[in-house]
Amino acid sequence: MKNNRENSGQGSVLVEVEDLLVKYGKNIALQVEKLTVPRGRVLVIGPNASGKTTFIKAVLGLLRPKRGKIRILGLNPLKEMNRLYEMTTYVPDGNPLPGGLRLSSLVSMLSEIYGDARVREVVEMLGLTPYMEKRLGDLSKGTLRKASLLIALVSNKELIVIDEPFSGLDSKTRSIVSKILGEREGSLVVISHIPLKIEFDYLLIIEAGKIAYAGEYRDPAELGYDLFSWR
Amino acid sequence: MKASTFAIAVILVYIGVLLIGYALVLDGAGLPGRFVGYYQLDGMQIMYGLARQSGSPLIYEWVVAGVLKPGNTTVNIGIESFDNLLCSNGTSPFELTVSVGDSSISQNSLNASITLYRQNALIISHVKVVVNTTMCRINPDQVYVYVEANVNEK
Repeated sequence: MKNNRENSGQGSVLVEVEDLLVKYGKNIALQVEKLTVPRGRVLVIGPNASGKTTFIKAVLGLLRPKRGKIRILGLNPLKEMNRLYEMTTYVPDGNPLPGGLRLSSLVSMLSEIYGDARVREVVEMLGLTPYMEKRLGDLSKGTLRKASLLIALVSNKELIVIDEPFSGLDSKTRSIVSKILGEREGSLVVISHIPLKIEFDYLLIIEAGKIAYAGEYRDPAELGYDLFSWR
Repeated sequence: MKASTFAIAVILVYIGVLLIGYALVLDGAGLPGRFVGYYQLDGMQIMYGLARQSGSPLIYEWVVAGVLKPGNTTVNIGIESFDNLLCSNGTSPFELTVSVGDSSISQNSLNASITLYRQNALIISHVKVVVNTTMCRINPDQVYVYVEANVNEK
């Protein structure tokens, strides 16, 4: 499975980072000397405020590092952001969607891009049909998370990046989300504190702004990490 | 003092305070002459890519209300991008509209302003930002809209 995905698209490298430094004011948020992440399914874990989201934002060009070189899908994220956005779907933590937008409008936009049948199918699977005429700002936290995830789950882009996909979701929805993400082709980067039933290829552990582990996926417990203590 | 006389005195004082307060508000005494607010465009990180792909613009509308000294007032709205907004010279991916009462202005620019005379302390501005995602390079995480109202001193 790993090799099939790695050979799709341009090259086998998903992210390359060299001499990366991200600072918030005087505080160092993230420091990475050298890192090469292969294409495939990548799980990013670490304690709160360890730099996971900062890492994702830096590689997606959403923040400008103090210094360093970053390539993602062979692109410079700061200079080739529009091209990167054509190849990537990013769902941040915290459901930042426009509150005034109706779910039906979001579904129409997605249907226009990915096809009506696929979008309707996922809307049904997530149980979003009864909320179609509601504004996103009026949805409950869990339903709003489903609406955010819908954007990732119907996406056929080269790369999907999701920050805490399970935040606010019940176990039934978690299984549906894991199933859909597990079946897709292309690369997937997930930040999660909650175990997903997905076969990952690569594990990245970030602690105190530094890469503590980067390599082939292994159960974090085998490496001496306790995911429960990070929740 | 009888209870009824006391009650009438209290009511008179209450009405007097209300009248003085109303007169002060009309005059603008004690009210600020400036208001500034910063707003992040919700969901740009997610919606930017989708809008680019579907070719639809992103539309944001909201109301900014405040209390300011009455008088000649300029309302400015503008885009503040902390990073990575790259457009050809003289072009803007934003269409900005600001309306206050019957006055309105719409500009395809990075800022727009409107000047009007206000008699009341309350100011309600309607702000609309339309983002054309197919032009320029925008960092969707770092686009902020500022709304600023200044009462012009004579």
